[in-house]
Amino acid sequence: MRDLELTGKTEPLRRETELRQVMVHLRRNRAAMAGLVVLAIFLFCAVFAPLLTPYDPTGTDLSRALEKPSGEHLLGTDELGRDVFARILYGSRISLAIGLISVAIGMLIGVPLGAISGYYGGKFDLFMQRIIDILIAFPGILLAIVIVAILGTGVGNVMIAVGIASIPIYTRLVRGSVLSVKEEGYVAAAKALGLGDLRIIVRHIMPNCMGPIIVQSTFQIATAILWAAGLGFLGLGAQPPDPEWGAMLSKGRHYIRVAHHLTTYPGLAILLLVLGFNLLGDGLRDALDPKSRNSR
Amino acid sequence: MEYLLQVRDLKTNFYTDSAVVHAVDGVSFDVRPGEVVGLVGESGCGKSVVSLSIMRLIQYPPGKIEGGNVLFKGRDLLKLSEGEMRRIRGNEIAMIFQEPMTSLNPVYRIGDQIGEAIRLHQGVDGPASWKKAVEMLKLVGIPRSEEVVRDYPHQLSGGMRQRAMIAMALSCYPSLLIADEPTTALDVTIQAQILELMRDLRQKINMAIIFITHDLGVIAEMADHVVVMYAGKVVEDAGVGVLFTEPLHPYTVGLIKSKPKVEDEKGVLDFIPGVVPNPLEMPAGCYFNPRCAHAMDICLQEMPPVVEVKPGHRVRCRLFNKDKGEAR
Amino acid sequence: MKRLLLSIPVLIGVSILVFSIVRFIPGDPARAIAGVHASPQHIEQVRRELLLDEGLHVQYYVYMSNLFQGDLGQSTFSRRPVATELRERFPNTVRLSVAAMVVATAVGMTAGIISATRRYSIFDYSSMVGALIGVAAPVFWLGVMFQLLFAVQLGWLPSGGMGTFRHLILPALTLGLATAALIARITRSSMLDVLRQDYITTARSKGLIERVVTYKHALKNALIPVVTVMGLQFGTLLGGAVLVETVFSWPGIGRLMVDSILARDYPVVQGAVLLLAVTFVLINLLVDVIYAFLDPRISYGTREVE
Repeated sequence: MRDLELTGKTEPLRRETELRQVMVHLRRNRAAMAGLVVLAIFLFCAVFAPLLTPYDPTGTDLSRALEKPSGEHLLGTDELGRDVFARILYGSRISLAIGLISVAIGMLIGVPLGAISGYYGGKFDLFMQRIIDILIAFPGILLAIVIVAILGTGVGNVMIAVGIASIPIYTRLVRGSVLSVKEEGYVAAAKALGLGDLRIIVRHIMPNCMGPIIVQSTFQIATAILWAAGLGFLGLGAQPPDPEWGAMLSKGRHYIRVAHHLTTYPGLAILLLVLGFNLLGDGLRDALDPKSRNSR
Repeated sequence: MEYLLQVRDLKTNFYTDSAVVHAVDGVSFDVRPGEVVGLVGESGCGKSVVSLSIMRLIQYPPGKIEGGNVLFKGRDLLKLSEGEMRRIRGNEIAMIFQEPMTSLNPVYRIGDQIGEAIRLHQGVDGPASWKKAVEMLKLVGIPRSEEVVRDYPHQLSGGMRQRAMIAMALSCYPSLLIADEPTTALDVTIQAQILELMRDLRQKINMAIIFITHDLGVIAEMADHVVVMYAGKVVEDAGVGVLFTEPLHPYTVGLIKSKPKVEDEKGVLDFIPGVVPNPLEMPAGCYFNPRCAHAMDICLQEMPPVVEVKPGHRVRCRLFNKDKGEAR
Repeated sequence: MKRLLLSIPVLIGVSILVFSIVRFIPGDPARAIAGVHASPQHIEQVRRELLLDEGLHVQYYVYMSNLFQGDLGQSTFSRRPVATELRERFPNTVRLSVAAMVVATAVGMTAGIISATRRYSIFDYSSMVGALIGVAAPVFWLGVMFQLLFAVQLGWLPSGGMGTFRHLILPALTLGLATAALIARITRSSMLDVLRQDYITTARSKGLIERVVTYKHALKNALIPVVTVMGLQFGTLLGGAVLVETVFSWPGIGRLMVDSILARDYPVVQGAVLLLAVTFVLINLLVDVIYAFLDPRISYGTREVE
């Protein structure tokens, strides 16, 4: 086994067939495919928003405020006469951007920390563990709120806050995977060959931790979008006139008695986008986990 | 009553998304009162499914008993209502399993688990069942049984746990015990102790045992009668003496030949060429034909019938089919 | 006991982080706290109150020694002691969270158990689809939708505020639903896993009726992962409480915190954050205790003597 791995040829080959297996399995999962379709639609809306609606998401027209959905305004207008459909379309840009960028921030910091922590162990690991313990003592969205309280509001700060709040999740996850992969024969073999630590981590350990990271990231994007919308709702996130869904909902709920479309549709948009990522995440987890692959 | 249990043409299938697996495919055998019948075969041959089918513990989905009869004391277990069947389970027919580590519920005390069947079937109350549990633990040779009865499974060694399992199974003095590889997971010395215990108890309470194993050594020690299974079918069945001295079916012959002199788990089956067929791709004709040195043309086309060569010695093989056999 | 000791460094860390909230503010914290239009005297006063000119260790020492005396400082907005404000609000948050957890546990476990025992039934499918939506739906949106349906359109329940039991129903339902969805999913998969175990076959082979097999032999084992998740979920719940309290004008810690952030009332923010984090740490301790109670294989050194 050890010798085989050292030739280096077998590994990529194995990974390629594995990838194909995962794809096959994923494609057979109807729920995951549905999630992928939902995500594709949102991505399409985000990219081609200007082509899909003639309205400006921030263009006010007070003479047409709080109109009910109609042929002209698909989802009605808000209290300043802005087209809700246009705002939701443009809002998908903000939500997707926050989801992706904050998760990227969390990953870029959390993954290396977790890898170093797991690979070297010792004092650094112990120290990191305590830091993580402290960070996860702030329940759920609270850490993001605290960071926003320090940094101030706005989309950029929300990305940073949510990103930082997801660091501990990655650090824990990667540390755990590294700890289990570290003991594998091929890592010992690579060490015996005298490869540098960095090379071992990047080339031999990390590829084997990718599965859990990918799955977690899919769910984490969903969480990030929910948190960001929550911050927006509390007035701590995106600020007007940004067409951010959470902020839209927060403004809209004051008109719930006369124009509930202001809250219903942005909320549905969040729900669908989050659902899309969750469904994909469930599918990926099942596809990447050989144990559950057969039991279904 | 000549027979305690008569299994006739038992069929149990498992259904997957795309296929049907005939895990037990027309199995028949008999058990006399007080007799030990060994059910032998490689893993995956369906012997455990037979035992669960007798107990009607096959879970649907994915498994289902599709045919046959299981006559126990003259009653067909497969036709009983679920309630009637429950009165038999743990009471008249009890069962012990391969893995003492996983067969006991980790979150309940030993005494509680043993006492449960006693309370259920004998209508005694909690304290009395607890006392009875201590007695049973003593019976199976567990020292300090007053203390052990209060322990949780993880506090006991593997051998002790299997003894506790046996105590649990015997707590209502069943007339039939189904033991599914009860010693496979244990050390050799512990294994010998457990076998000794089962032999001893069998005489004390005069119960019959269906002893399921892949280990012919254990069979030679324990069984009166042996049923050999291959790929869901019985291929040979005979008294234990006859089976070891005059095995007929090529598979049985192979099994006996490959039985190592020294106990050694590994390599037992290296002596029979080939592997157990994939249940989804059974060969046409006799299921054993790809591994059989004596396979004839007809073996590739038709499943051979069971022939009774001598009274009490049956085999499913063309070699002993009277007309074909003589023609050879 | 060991767990209790382990949570001490966590609590110290939390206090440091909370203490740092004010000091991390970019630029001049005193100016930020006092507000853009504050007079220089006011800024100077804030600076003095928060000891911003002293060394960090002095600041932390003073902060901690005050903390141990129950002094969390004074609200820069209402001028009342932070501890008093928190004491008024905290029971409301506890009431809301506990009610939500009760809803979540009752709904989630029931749905999970029924789904697992009737796998592939219509109930199973619909409750799992419901759970997917429950996890994905933003809690504040759910709250507003409930208001719309039950308060505005049907008029059955009050749309906000606090007082009678009827006021509690919608917020608790809103806050509990996402957790219920998660508990349902975990309970289902955990039950399915446990029902495959050998000891379940053992239990059935004794002749026990299926109800005893499910509720006595399977459920207690299946609860072990569920309790872990419930503990973690309590955190999500506390976080969600911030949002739900805002939706339903529920005067709890969460809303106090958000209002204070918006009003730059940092002493109150610090107090609220600290309280929520400490509560969460204590809940996790409690979960460990429940855990040991459910699973005899785990003991925290107390029962080993036996």
